[in-house]
Amino acid sequence: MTESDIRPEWWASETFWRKCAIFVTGFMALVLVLLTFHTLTVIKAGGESGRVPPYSVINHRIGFAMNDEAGHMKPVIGPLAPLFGEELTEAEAMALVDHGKLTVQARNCMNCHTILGNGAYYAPDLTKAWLDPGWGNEDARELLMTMFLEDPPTNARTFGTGRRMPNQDLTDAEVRAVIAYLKWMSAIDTNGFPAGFKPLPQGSLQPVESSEPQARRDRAGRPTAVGRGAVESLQPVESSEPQARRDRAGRPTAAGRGAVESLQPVESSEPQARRDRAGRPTAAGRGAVESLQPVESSEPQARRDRAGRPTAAGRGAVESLQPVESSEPQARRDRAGHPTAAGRGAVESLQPVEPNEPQARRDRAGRPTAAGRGAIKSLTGDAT
Amino acid sequence: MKIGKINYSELSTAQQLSVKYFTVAMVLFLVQLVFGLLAAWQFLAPDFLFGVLDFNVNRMVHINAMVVWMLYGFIGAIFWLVEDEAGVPLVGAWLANLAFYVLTVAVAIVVVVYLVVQSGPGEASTLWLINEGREYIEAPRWADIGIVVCMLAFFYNVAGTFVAGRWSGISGVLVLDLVALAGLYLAGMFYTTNLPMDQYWWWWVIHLWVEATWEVLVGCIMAWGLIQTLGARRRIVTTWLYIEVALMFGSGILGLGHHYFWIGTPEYWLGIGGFFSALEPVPLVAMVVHAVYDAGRHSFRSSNHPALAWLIAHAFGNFIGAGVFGFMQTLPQINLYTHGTQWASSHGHLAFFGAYTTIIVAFIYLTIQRLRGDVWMSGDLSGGWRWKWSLALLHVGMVGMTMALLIAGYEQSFVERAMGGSTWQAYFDGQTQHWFVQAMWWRMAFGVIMTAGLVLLLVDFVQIGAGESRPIRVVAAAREEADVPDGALPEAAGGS
Repeated sequence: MTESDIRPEWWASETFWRKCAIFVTGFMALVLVLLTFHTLTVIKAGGESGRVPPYSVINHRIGFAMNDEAGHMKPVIGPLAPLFGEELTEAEAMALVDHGKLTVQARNCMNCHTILGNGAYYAPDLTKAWLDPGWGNEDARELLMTMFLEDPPTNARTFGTGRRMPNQDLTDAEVRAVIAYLKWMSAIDTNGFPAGFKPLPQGSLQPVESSEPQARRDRAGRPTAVGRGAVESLQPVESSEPQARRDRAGRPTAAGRGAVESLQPVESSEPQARRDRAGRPTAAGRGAVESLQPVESSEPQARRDRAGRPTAAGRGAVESLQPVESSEPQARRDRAGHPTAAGRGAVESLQPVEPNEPQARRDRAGRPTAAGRGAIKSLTGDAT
Repeated sequence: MKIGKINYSELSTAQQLSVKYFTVAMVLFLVQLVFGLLAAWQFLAPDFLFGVLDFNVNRMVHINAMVVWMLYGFIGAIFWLVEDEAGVPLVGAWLANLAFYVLTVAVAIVVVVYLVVQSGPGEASTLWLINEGREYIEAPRWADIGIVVCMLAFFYNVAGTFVAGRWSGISGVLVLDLVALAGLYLAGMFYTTNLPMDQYWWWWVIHLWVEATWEVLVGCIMAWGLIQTLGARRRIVTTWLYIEVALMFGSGILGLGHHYFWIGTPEYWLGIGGFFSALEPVPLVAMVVHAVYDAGRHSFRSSNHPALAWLIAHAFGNFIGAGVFGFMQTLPQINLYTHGTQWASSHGHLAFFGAYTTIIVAFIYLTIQRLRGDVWMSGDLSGGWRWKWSLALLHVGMVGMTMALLIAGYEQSFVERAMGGSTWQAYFDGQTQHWFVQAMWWRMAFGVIMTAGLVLLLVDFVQIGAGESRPIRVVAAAREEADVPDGALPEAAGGS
């Protein structure tokens, strides 16, 4: 037997595979390191990619909507809506979010909850906790979240599972920090995770000083305002997805600042009603439910004030609008096909309705949305 | 050595260290199952121990006990093979002993703090002293540092011994892998406010441990184990090991990307992670082929039946648990709906058991054989039913739990994700869905079966070989018996 007879083929030899192992491992490690350098620049908080928002994003309203270009849902950074009504600098916001993250780690939240889908599966995912429809609406949210975190067992909504969150004995500061952390987290672009998530109803998502979202809208081929002034005046209106749809449906879209302002309150309650019908509990706890129910109508108003958003043009204005929001009847009426008013004033008064998801649904359902001030009054009568 | 009696004092220092590490590992394995049962029961009776030992505590101990006992198992296995492989006594034995006690005391303190203190204020001090709050690597920072120091000592022992003795293909891969394994742990030892940044590095530790360096480590252990139990030829085994390393790191390093789908990282990870992680089962197939080939080539003639059975269980468990169950949900198009559901725990349970528990158990049987004075552990073993029944119960329990959790995962991804739109309401709709609830009961039942299997296994560890008077059929003899394949070289010495 010669040596060549007993030596394995080159492709079966130890040396060949040793070289392969070294080369492949080295190459893959190198690629990983290079990708890591790139990824780390992309995921800087407040980086240009916009994937991970700056911490001061907690000063803004945050949405989560389908992005046609990306093909999945993305966070949308809306206009100013400061957390707890206090606008923070980037440094202050970072400190607050940081405290929140520390608290979430210190209380070992991740061994019941998932965070960005990672963790344990005993309690719901926290990725979009800030946007969860379970909080009712954006006006009740901060209060409900605070109440819940201060006493989770009492305010637990176990949805029939019996699973309650144990009391974490969070301090007031920790509660606020955790909420800030969750709000910031909800603005991280997670490539569409969690799938098909439907956020709670909120006000307009169109940032007043636009930029990013504006750009996106342009790319998506939707008409945009022509000129700075135009943009400003229109921002609130056309803004979001739903609006676009309404536009396509040929309904008038223009509105003025004042109009938007005066109508803001309306939106909060409408969706709320619907959610109730869907059978989802809206308040956070048993006690919470009771104490909060009444709050929702008035509280939101106050909150919005604190948040520095313009509010309805006066007590009377609010009152006159309240009936409209009553929603339920309103919706029915719409479905019944009553013709509604339109026109400049009408548009103005109705703008606020548009913002969120639920609204979109209503629009898609083909219900007329326009109305006028006078119309509202007349409809209020109808409704009752 | 007295056959059938405990010969602890006659073992070398390194082998004694193995026995110590394996002993602690098995205690922690039992702890893991006990806390797993508590957590499983809380799914069914949420008020159970509410406010005393909450789910998050039980679950953390369940997982941490596992991570630590597996590390102990690996260390024990490496101490067991290092002298044989290097051909010289362990270097720095006193340091190895010191490191064992330091590490064990540290682990005990960490567990007590988990159970008694549980959590702390939202300050950095909590992360340093109590709990880091990051799944799998919750150990507080002081313990992290202690672990790294002990690992450095361990690395010195192992590398030093090979340097003093001889190198082989197996030891070369092993030492380089240990460098990577220890180095990667550092990636998890920092705090940042930026959550995506946090999870990015966190996965470096978890994934590159579990799906890369741990796998290669067990590849080394398996290679040595096949030589020991079957008398497989070193050149073949070493060549296979290189193939496995190439395939494992070739797929597993960038397979890391499948954890970067949804945490804020760029979209290119969807493609990279999906592609490379889909290839991750390939090396596991290679390992099965390798093990089965060797076992068949040697007609399953082994001096240690339980060890051989568990090595075969490892080959299949690794492939099915880590490979198949991982592959099922690794593509982003599927993972979008399964990420963060019981799918992951289904995969996790079978993968850790199949890939790591099995091989450590196999090694413990090898250890015990020597401890009992190279006792007979093949056919007609007295009390041989114990190892067979414990193997069966552990597997039935584990496979049952895995399937129950898989069904739960299906329900969750359909009801919560696809239908419900991933809200909290949808989450609870999924959790109360009756098939999900049934699955939780089945998981509990199979968990009890598995625990029974573990208790029997531990009894067997204590009793197997006791009272047996027949000696081992020496491996050397087995090697001689093994036919030299046509046209192949006899055993290549050293391998390097």
